Amino acid sequence: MINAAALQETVHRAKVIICVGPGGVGKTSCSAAIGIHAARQGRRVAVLTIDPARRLANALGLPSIGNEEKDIPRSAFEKVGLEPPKGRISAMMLDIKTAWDRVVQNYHPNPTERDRLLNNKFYRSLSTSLAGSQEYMAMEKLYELVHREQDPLDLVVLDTPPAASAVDFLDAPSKMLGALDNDATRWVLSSSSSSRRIGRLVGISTSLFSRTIGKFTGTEVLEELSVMLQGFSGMYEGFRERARAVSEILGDPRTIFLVVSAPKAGPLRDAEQFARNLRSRQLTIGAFLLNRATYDPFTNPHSELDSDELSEKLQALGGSSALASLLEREAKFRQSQAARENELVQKLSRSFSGLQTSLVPEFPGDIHDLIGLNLIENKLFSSSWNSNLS
Amino acid sequence: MSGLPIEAKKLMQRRFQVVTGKGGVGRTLIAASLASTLAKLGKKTLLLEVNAPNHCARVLGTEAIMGDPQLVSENLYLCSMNPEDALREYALMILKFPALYRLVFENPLVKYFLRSVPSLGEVTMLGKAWFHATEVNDGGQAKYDHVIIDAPATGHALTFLSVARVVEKTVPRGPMRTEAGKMAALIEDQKNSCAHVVFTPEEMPVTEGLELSKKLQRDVGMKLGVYFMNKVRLADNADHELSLVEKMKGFEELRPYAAAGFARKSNLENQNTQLKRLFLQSENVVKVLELRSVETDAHRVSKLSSDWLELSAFGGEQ
Repeated sequence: MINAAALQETVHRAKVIICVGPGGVGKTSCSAAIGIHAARQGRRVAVLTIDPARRLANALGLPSIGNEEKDIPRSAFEKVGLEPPKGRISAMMLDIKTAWDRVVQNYHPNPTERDRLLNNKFYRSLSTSLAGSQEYMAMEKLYELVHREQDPLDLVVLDTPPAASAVDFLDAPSKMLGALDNDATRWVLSSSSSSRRIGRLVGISTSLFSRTIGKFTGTEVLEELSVMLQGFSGMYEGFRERARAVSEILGDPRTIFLVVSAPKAGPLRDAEQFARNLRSRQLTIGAFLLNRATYDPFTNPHSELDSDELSEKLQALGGSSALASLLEREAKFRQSQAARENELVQKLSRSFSGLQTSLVPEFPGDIHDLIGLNLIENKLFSSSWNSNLS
Repeated sequence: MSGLPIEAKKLMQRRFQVVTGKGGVGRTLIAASLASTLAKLGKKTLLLEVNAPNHCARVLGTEAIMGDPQLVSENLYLCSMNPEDALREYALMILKFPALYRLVFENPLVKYFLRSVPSLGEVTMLGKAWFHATEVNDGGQAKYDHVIIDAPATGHALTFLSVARVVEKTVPRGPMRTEAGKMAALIEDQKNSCAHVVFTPEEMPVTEGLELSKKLQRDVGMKLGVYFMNKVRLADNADHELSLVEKMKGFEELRPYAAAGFARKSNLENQNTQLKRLFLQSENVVKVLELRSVETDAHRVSKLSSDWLELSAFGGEQ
């Protein structure tokens, strides 16, 4: 089932790895573990999370991370008794406001208009708290990381928010292109306060458009919106170019999507949907990573004991018969759970034949530090799956 | 299980309740159980799902329902919201002419344009929630006694719940700002609305859930509801003997049992640490026990909603 060599190979040839999947399955931990693994191979790696929840810093042993890249120092590994990686690994979390401001600062051709835009009320809301905005920015950030010339990266690992919005992320470049290449946008752009008519949209007149949309928003809203959109003028070609470049990055055969999930019915259904979605976009899926699999205690050579026998043996060690039945129940529960998970995983493998599936066992306690990440890394990339439970 | 704290019972009977938490903790299970309980108590209850089609329907064991809410069992109405449908409903409500809607909104260019306006989907879904929460029947009475929102996970829940206030502050006077103001007022209503947060007894879900709770109060301005601790393992009489697993490891034939015992022991220790963290934060912690074996979500919902019928001991708040 677990094919460590194949996963190693997959990660090895990747320039960009994008982890997608439903919530609560350990995407962030897996992204970080993969990043650390690649750094151990001597590569220069950056892990980027666009999840609005701040978890990556904790797991990587950093007090905090933000929009600026931060190296995970060798000492962070040494402190917990782990060998530091040969390569370099850094982490960052997308801070949307800062990222927007930077794009405007870097690419706006006109200083006066640039400052007006930075102070525009619409722009400020857009760049701080509106949904969809982070997907645009993740796209910009991915572009920046992949194409940067100073301190070039061998690998970018991207951790995405849970299912529904990771699709939004994939759609961000085309949405951006759609919005910019759109006559309706152009109309809003050119209307502003001068209310100049620019003829007709395909099939409907601009006045019908403005009256109808204005009914919900108020006409002033459209005007303010157009002021903001005009503030972006001079930047459109750049947006368009980068959006196109990101589409290319996503479609590159060395950009690998890993579908992270858990071997449970609900999360697997989501994972399947995701994989189908990726396939229909002709993107490259590297593997399914199924996290928190139950370990079957009766894995060869261990077998079940008769209830009486177990009870006797425990009594010899000073344990009660209540303990014997508790342990018997626990062990059998894990066994049946593992069997059920196994069935689900087999089914998944059958419906996506040719796709590799890697299982990561559940660890007692949970993963929230470098030691935990190291455990995941070992399970993903070393071929033996020994019990970690004893 | 029984023993809901009194304050929790009151909060669980508010008119407008939102359920959120870290991804994967079981938000839908809690939202569906809460809605089922209130419905069983004879209250007309609407369960609204935000952009995650079928999750609620699946745990309730019914067909997916989009568009208009539909009755799925006595007193229980269900509807799954998504941005496209919500926008169409909202537009039709204001325009009143389907032909005009089709002409303008279904124009491919306009569609493209609208698709790229940030947060438009969130605003219209929130607008739909507000509409149903304030909807009245022909007699002028509230159509639903309770509206329960199965909200997205952490970050997206915060965006979703604060979008009304953001729009209200950003856009100039006009219908959109007025509507947004009403939605924000519903969310920030300290007497009739609240947000419940779901946890599991693990480090990350508790840390993230507590951070989320702080932001719900401070940034969104919402009254905090109950902390639901899901997936709690039941105590066993023999738990205190689990330290024996260390000795057991020396015996090859006992290793599977030692492994299972060790896993249980660390899970329990971790669970206790996390339960303590949560109890320190709030008196309104409700433990939702993990029900072993192959139980389906539908079973868990029906069990929980039977357990919670004790809510009726309180006739709601005030």
